[in-house]
Amino acid sequence: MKSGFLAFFKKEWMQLWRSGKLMVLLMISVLFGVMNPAIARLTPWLMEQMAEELEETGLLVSAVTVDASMSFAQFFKNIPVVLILFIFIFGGSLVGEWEKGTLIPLLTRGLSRSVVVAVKTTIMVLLWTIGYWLCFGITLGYSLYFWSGEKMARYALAAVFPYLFGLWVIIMLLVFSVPAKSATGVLMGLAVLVVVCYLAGMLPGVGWWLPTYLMSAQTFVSEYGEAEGFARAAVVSGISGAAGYLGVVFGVERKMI
Amino acid sequence: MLELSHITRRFGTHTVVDDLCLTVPEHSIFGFVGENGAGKTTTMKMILGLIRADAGEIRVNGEMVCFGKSSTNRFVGYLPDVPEFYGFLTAEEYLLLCAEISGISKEERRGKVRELLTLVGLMGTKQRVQGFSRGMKQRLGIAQALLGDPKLLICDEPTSALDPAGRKEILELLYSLKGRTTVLFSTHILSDVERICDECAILHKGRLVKQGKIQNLKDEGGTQGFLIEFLRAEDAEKFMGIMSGGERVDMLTLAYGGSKNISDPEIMMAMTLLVKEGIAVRRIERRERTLEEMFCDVLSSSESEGE
Repeated sequence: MKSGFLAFFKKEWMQLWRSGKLMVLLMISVLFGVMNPAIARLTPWLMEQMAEELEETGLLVSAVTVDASMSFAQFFKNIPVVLILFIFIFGGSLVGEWEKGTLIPLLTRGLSRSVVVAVKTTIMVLLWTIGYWLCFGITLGYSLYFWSGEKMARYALAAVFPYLFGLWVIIMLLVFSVPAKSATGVLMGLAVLVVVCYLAGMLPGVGWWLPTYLMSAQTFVSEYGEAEGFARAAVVSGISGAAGYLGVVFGVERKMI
Repeated sequence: MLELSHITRRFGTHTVVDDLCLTVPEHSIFGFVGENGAGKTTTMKMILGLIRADAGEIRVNGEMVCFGKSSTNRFVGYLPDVPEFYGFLTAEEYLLLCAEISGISKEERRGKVRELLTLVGLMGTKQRVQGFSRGMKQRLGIAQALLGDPKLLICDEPTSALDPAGRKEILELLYSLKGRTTVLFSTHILSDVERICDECAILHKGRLVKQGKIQNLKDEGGTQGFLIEFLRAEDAEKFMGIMSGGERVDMLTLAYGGSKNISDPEIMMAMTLLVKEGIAVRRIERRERTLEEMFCDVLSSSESEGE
């Protein structure tokens, strides 16, 4: 079991490295991490540049002041894009193994199916953790450098919620990988699930109970009173994520390969 | 080494394997023959625990196979019909991965892998698997299957996608394993079975229709007449008039006996007549039933029984 985990983990890591996926992911994280404070920092200058043009159309631009909140607003706005890119990179991670039949020789050599699920989950969680907090760390570092450190603890706490949502999405990605025949099937299943969650969240009183609520973390910074709602959504995500993981193990153990 | 007892597998309403009973003796090269869709791959995957059997029991080396569990696979090496490996690894890296998963100790791993790479002719190949030809992939597949010295090697149509040179190489490689391990080898290329197998089983629409030693199966139909190949076309013409019942195969060859069994006195008579008439020949040959003819007969009789 232990040797199977380590061997398969090394294989996954080497695959990420040699396919360039690891570099792409790190570049995305760094790019977005830098972009968030950069956009905030450049906003007054951009507005100044556009002021004359806007004046001609009758719009008056007064001096724009920016602070760390604008940088973090950008961070929370951009995180869904980072998550979508992450899903595109890893959407075929498990389903690709069924599709190509690459797991068959390893399973017949004694690799346990639950180890396959454990390694795939560990790799994705590890990379989401590294990528996400690298992006946040860069945004935080520049924000502290350019502006004051006010509310930083609150931003850091707020950032935990989209991170948790990312973990939940990873588990759901694996859930859809069990019956799916291709990465397209996984992505479509995931898209339908998220859309259903968002639509259900529009119903009064339901939103707080859904994992998608975690993505509105920016409101947590301004409206501290909603902490209870985020906690509720986090607990629901945790429970459904754990159930989903067990479901994946159960499904993979019984899958005809 | 391998026993299948009343194995049945259905996909929906379609029965792919139907009450299959099969025994593969130790150290034999066993041909598993059947047309496409006969249920060969499904049976093999059930032996490996990759597909669940709806009924029956499978034993490998005396141990029961359980679906989804891989404990009996420690006795088995498997070469899939279209082996797919991780293209980003080299052959040596891939085998080292398999060896680690198999639990082969770190000290032994490299030596074992190199030995197998030498056996399949891939030693020194630095290229990644994504650049391998089909033949190279098959050879890597065999090396992978032989890791850990399995008691049973299961090869699913290892030669069907290869060119003649690649086929010859793989068959020679499999034949070289005789005595070292038991080989279960599925195919629909009957000449391959004739070439390397000791025994074979014929599967038709999921049912076992024939099993036995290759020579016994061929002998069952008896000899199918004989051929005489002459040196000159005129001699063939002349001999047709001397001994009746001959059919022209080509300008120089006559066939006697057709599809019915022919006894020794008829061959002796032909030889006596040839000597008496002073006709020299290139060869006289008994026509044995080929495995292909036997296969077609078995299938057609199985079809007529089904009706």
